Amino acid sequence: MASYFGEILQSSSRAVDDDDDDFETEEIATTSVRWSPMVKAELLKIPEKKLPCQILIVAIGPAASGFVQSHLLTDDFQVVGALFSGLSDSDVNTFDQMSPADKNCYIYRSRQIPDVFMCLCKTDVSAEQSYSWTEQLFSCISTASPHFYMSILCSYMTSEYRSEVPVSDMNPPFLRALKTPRFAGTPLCPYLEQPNLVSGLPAQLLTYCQMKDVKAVLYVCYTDTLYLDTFTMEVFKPLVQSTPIKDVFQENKKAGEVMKHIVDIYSLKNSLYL
Amino acid sequence: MFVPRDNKPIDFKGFTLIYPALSVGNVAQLMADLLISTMTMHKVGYIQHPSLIPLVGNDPYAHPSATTCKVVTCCEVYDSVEHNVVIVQQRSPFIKGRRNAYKKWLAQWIRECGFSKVVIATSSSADERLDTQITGPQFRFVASDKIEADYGEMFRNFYEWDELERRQTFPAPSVLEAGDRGQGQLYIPGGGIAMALFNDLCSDTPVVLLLMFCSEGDNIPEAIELTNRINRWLGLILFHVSES
Repeated sequence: MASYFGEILQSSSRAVDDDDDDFETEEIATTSVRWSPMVKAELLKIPEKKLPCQILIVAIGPAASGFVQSHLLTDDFQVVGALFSGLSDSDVNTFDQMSPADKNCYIYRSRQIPDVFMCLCKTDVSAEQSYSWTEQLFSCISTASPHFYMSILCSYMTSEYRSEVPVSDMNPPFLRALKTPRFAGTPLCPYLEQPNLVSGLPAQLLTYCQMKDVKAVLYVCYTDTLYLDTFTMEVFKPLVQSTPIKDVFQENKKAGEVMKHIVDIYSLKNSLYL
Repeated sequence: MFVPRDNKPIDFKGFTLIYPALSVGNVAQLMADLLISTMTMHKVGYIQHPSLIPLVGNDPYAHPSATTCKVVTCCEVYDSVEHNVVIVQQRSPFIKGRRNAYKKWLAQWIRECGFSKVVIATSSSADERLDTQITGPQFRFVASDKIEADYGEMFRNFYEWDELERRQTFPAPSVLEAGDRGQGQLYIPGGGIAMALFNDLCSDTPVVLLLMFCSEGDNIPEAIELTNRINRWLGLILFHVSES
């Protein structure tokens, strides 16, 4: 392709990358899961080697994780496993999941109702690892129960939302939903309209549920703030009255405090100037 | 892996597979969407592979005023029993460096399914055309030996399709001329895995590669032309000429 200056430029395509032929990666970065000794002992006693599960809530990204951490993750929940997507030397990890850069995703289970699980994924899981992340999560969690419900929460920037209505008229942050055919209820917000798409880990999880023909709903929060704030986390609040979150939700007076604390943690990383 | 919908086993033996390769301008994928929506084909399964970037969205074939939710995923298989056709529609690109792995799996799956013939649809960058390709129809075909034996004469003489010219020197032709059949190499820049898949299958499967030259932009006209040509051959959709 000739440019205005007369030089020949390699044209690039929106659809295909021909340079892909140049290398073939033999090693794929994969995710691995580890379970607590208690869970491992339980699995030994179960013939299917999968933990029974009725409700699974996966929160991906800071806003969704912040909402779940403040509103749903009470002291009743204990860590039973974790998903590791590879740590480099520069990655941060805290055991109490209080760093914005925590790369490891902890899996929590309710002590009172042992078939309720939650998983928080605060940082991005690459598209490359989404497949194995999903495989590993469901390697020991069963979707076979006829009452199995999955809820996936994630967030996107409004710049990625395409619609005829200007985004500023839509009062961000706002929610959109997608659900599998088995999920009989109506989500609390409009369905995600064409031509919007969700990709990455939330998409892989919903795809898995679609293929397994189980009940799952995905809620996407579109936000226009670069930095995490309480408004964005609170956009998920109406979901505490929706299936399946309503079966897990207990009024938590400390929610506001925890949200403020989470916002403070993120804002420490975001300031360039005093 | 292929996951049939509703876990019902499916037999594709004897069907024609139309595989749109991810290629420049998304022409082949547009063609597939046009065929799937016009023939109202049924979704019969999903393809799950670690080489595909995951994707979900709402039903792309829904009526504009529809308010329902039908999840579409990154790679789905549609069929039409009436037309004896299967289409694999892929909506997301490959993970970098992993497309060869997918091509190997796909070739293996195609063989196992026992399709009667395989039509690989793709497109090629218009800015790398030979001089002779700049004018005239922008459609080309490449046929395996079996397809050449059954349809070669029909393609050339009846439909007047042009076979893709071979390059004498590769990758940059010093003299921009076409080579004779049997000499030189086939080169499809921007064609995705189409060429590699064709080469993998052509020894034991009746496979033909159909392509359009295009530049990126609004590629709907190229998609419509590719669809019309495929339709003319396979006779999927009959057009009624109105008498006025």
